[in-house]
Amino acid sequence: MTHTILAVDDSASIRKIVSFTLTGADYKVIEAVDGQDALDKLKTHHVNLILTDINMPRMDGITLVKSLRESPQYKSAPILILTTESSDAMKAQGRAAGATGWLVKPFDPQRLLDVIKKVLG
Amino acid sequence: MTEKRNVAQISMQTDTNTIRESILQDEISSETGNSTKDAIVIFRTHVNECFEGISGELKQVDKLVEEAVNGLVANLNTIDHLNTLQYNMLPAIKIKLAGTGNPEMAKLLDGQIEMVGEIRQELDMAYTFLQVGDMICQLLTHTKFRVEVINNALQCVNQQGDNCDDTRLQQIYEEISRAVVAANTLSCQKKVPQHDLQSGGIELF
Repeated sequence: MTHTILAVDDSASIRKIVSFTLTGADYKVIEAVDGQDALDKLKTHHVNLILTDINMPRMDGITLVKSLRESPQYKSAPILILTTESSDAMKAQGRAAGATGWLVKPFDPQRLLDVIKKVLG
Repeated sequence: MTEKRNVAQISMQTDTNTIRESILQDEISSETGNSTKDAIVIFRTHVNECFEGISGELKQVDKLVEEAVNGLVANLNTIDHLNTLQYNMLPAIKIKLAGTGNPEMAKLLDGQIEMVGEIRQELDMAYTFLQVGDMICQLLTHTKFRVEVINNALQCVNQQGDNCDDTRLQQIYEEISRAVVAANTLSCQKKVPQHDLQSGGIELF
């Protein structure tokens, strides 16, 4: 079964790198430019995992995680945060919002795949 | 060769800037002979032009970096795709060669399979390094924000400092200081913590 992953990042180059890494490992990827765009995409697509940045226009990653945790469909879906932020305070915010894990940019493609494989079981 | 050309271009640019500054000083001096208000207007215009120039150049750097990174990602994707095709092709060739009893060829193919794996690892590292583009864009956003704050603060001084006493001038400088501190604080709230391009940590909650 092919898993679908929603990649949320305002940086086009990061979205391309993430998308290429994941499609190369047979995942289907949907891209969103910020939290609001992600919520819009999720109205018409079902995804198995969400990978999101934090600092984005319109809606940031933490708000997105909180919104998704309130939705019955994504209440327990894996949500990974992929960000340049690495402070303990920010990680605590992510954990409190309901994120599954925290990955600091720049990411190593192979390590990203390993984590996603582990999280998706 | 390219490096020499770049140095020459920077040198020419510096000369041009010096000439511009000289012209600006002459312009202000001649105008101040007539009216202080005219000199202030010229000063404001030039300060504005200067900040607009900085802002424009930062945007240009941002755009160039983004275009370069997008182009490089596309190139790497193609290389990766071709490498994967080769990786899938080599074992099939090896199986066909097995029947021919040519051990030297089989050994060469093993070496090639290993090399394809090494290319894959190098590509992964290249993808990691390419994320520099994202960090540069964030740093440029912070720099643009600081430049805008300083520009606004300078414009305030110009507008308020025309006819004011020492006490008011003191207040103005304090306001500028507060604006700069605010700019620094806001910028630090979303800082880019990476100082190198080693891949970051992973933590599962």
